[in-house]
Amino acid sequence: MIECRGICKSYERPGEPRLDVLKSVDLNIEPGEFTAVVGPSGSGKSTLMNILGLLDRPDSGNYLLGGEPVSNLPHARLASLRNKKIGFVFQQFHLLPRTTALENVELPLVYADTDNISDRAAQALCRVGLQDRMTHTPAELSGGQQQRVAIARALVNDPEIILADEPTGNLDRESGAGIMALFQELNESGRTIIFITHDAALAARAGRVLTMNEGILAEEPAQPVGGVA
Amino acid sequence: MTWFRILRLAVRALLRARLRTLLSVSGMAVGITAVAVLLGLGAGARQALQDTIEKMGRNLLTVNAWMSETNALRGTGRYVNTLVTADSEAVARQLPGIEAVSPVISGTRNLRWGGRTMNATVNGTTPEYRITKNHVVKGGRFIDEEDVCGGRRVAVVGDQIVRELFMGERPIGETLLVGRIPFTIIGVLEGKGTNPLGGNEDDQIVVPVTTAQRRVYNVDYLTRIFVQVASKDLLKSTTEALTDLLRNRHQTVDFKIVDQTALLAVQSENGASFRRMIGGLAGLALGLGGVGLLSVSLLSVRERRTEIGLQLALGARSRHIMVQYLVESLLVALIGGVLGLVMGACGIVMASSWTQWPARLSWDAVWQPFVLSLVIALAFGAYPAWRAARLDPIVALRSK
Ligand SMILES: Nc1ncnc2c1ncn2[C@@H]1O[C@H](COP(=O)(O)OP(=O)(O)OP(=O)(O)O)[C@@H](O)[C@H]1O
Ligand SMILES: [Mg+2]
Repeated sequence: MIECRGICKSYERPGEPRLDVLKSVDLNIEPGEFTAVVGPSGSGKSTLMNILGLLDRPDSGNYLLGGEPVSNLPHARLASLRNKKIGFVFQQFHLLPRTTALENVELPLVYADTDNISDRAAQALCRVGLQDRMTHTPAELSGGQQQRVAIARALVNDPEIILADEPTGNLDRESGAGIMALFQELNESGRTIIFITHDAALAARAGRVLTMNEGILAEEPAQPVGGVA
Repeated sequence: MTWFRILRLAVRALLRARLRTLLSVSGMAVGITAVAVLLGLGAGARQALQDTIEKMGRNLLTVNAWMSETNALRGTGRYVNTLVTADSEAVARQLPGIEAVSPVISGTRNLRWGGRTMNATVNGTTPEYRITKNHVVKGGRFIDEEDVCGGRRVAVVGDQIVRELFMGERPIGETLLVGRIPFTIIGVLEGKGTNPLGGNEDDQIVVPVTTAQRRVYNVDYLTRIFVQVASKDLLKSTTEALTDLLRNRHQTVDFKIVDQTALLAVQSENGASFRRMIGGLAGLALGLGGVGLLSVSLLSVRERRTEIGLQLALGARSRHIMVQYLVESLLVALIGGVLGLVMGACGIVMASSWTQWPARLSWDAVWQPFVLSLVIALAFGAYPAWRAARLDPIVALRSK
């Protein structure tokens, strides 16, 4: 599903030494995997996630998405891949303000140019348990509900991969647990999920945990569920 | 479907930022109002000019008997008596593209009726005079060929004469003394009022040219000849042909040809400088409206960077973003344009009813500002839209 070889990313700012954020990252993700990425702040987790999600480009290295090399694709093709293959969930939810949950969820379908936009968006909202909040605007929803709307939006175009950058970072423990349960459900129905978290307990619920440390990605040995202090 | 939804996104975005939208809409509206009023004034002035030309005789050239300047300097006589009826007949016969020709002998005489007197212009001419000068006969009839051939003492009187000499009574059939000669009144002309060149045609009486030459003035020449050409485009070439023809016949240039359409156009230039000033103001207002739209849009793009980043993350292409922001500008311009048109129309109506300016609501004053507002929206909205569309997804998403 995802194959990365030697992904490097660095930032250069005038008057400062070069900052190597990703130092030759190798990564293989198989379809249906449920992966957590952990690591200290500033270690490069989001940077990697953005590259995996085709929002950012690596300086060097190879990235195959579903077997297709994506390093040098034109903008339009990248947009189409983001639209069809990937669903994003962000820590800040990123919902359009003063816009109903339904219309927020419709957005990826607008750019996909498909029919039955409203029906499909409504189905996605049902899927995340918000069938009775469709006409609510973000201001009329709790944080957990807003993140559910964002997940429905990530799901609506039926992508193979869901990328979530600290999806529970802005939520209390209980809502966070609800979101994780939802991810688990989605994974059980066959979706590949990669998420970043600072919460070891949540990471432990993933089938696979990767640790990012100063731009170097390492596999964490499999642990029994709930076995983290 | 996509484009319809993007239109909806644009509408939502405008409704979300009400104050911002209101600001740029009113900026556009003011500019469009100014342009609409300007066009209304222009259309009014053009119409007034057109009406005047219509009234004074359309596509009309006037050949005046005229001392050439060299002759005047030599002091050879005060009057030119070389312009004759034969000249006007030759013009009618020989020149192409001529609608009507009327010879005129003109002077001032005292009129007398029922114990009252007044001075009036007495024009001796032919039936074509009515056509060349675009006169309307209000009652009775105009002079005809038989009146001219027979040298009959019949007269058609102007509106002012009916008012002042006959105190508004119906004068047809009455006998009028022109100097000492009695004329029978056969018709009345509709009034025209004074024209912008300062002329008044309502104080005239029209009599057959033959009668006027023999009985009133006792001369055999003419004062002028009116020549109506078939179209405006022929005015210049006919002036030249007319000059050639008469110079040949007279062996000198003892006449002067006046193109009153040109004179009136010069006259109407006076109003044009005023309109140019308003035009400058309108352009300024419109420019400010455009710049307002530009800065508000740029602000909007800057504020909504994360939103754009999100749209890109969800699979929006640059052109989707570009179109959304262009549509936002277009909607602002459209609403501003419609508002401006309504205000402009009110302005035009007010200007024409409360002031001297002949403003007029023309179709041009509607569609031109409308198209202009769209052009401005595209011109000033393109840059912000382009800025939005070429944002890098990650830069946009991460900006706060
Ligand atoms: N545009 C940029 N220019 C310069 N440096 C950047 C830029 N973007 C990110 N960085 C740097 O890259 C490093 C990694 O950032 P990244 O957001 O990937 O960290 P992270 O692991 O997601 O941290 P956190 O857990 O706090 O979200 C940071 O040190 C950050 O300062
Ligand atoms: Mg991060």
